[in-house]
Amino acid sequence: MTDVIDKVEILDRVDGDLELLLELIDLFRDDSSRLISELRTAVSREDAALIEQNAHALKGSVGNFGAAMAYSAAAKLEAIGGTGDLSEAAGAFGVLETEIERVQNALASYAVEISNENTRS
Amino acid sequence: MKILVAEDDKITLKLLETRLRKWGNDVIACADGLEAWERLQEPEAPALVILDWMMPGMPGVNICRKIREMNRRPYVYVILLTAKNRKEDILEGLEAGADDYIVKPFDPSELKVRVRAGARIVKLQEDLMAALDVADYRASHDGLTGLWNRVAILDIGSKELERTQREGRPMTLVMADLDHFKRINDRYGHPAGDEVLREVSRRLASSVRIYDSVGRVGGEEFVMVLPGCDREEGVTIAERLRASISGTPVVTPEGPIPVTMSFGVTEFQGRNVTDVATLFKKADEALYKAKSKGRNRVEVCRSDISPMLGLLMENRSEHCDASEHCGLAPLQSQRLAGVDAVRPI
Repeated sequence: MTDVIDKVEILDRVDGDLELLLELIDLFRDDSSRLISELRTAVSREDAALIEQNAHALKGSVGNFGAAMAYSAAAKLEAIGGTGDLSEAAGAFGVLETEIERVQNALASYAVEISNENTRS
Repeated sequence: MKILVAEDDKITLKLLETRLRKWGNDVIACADGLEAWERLQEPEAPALVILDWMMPGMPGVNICRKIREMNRRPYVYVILLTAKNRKEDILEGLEAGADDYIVKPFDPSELKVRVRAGARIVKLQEDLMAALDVADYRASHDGLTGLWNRVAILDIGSKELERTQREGRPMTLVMADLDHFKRINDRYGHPAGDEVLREVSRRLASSVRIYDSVGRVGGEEFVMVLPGCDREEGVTIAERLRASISGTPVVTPEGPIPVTMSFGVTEFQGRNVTDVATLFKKADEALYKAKSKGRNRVEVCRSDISPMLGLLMENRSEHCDASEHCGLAPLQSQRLAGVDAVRPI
């Protein structure tokens, strides 16, 4: 099974800057929760444009952490919003919500791991 | 390099910002398209811009089109940020005027080289613009005095003539020539002569109104274009210029050199000339008259004599043969008193 997040890719992206990484994890926690709740509203209101926009933003966010599953879940919902046929929107949103939670959890443990290493060294 | 980055995803924005700063750039980070567009319209806005394709407020591609419509100098180099597998977006973006694109999530080393390529273009453009500005300045200004050169002042005169004609306003042209300049060169040498030309130019330029133009059209010959100015005002200004030249000797390494200048004034009245060359010719005739009447004086072109000035001249004609200058003499002395107080230096 693939990892939820790709730590090698993450470290490469921040150029080994762990402080920046912790900041990004913080940012992601708040921002992804906001986007998920906006997506929930957009799905219930059947607002295709808003679904597309928020799913796109989430896709961009998770892409930075090498979160492949979450990325494709977001891409799928974005595509649904783009076509305007929302029959599968609720289902796709459910998948994305679960994936985002997994990313959030994985990042939270990674943050703890980094902090511990920092204190040890 | 000053770089503007617009990206609505906070993670990507933070990453871009941090990276670009680490590489020594000055980064303006914008969270949406509208903010980016506002910042781009400010003076001194960055010439290198990284725009996310999809943003609330204003998408990157729209900003890109607006930047190209602005036609700003120097050139704005635009890099679009786009998601993977969006070939049609890339094509549309390049079509809209983007110079390059980066696919998200971005690869830092790719970002680095693409930004460097952009910075190179921006730098080239800036150098080119600076060189063009210098060339423009050289092509329109006199190297010794910094005044407009002959070609430029003719062009300005022609444009002002057209404008004042359209607006139904008068325009006056003054031609001036340093008296016995050859003697100054012969006696004090060319460096001192050059200093006289420079100082005379400074005095002319600082004695005219802000919307007047001064040019050097020959060795010691100058032209003043005075838009909105009728003949009487033109004579007043020419008198002020004359007094500012003769009032104080020019200080040179060879010692103070007293100089005087002769002036010819002509007015465009809406029917007497059709082109600026005619106006130059008439001003030149008046200047010739000033020279032949003893120099250090202001003369008006004969065909320009207004009824009021003509009357003054007729009254004085028994003293000197039909000279306009005689008619102007009382005017001059009246005005000179006030002029001395504002003389530069």
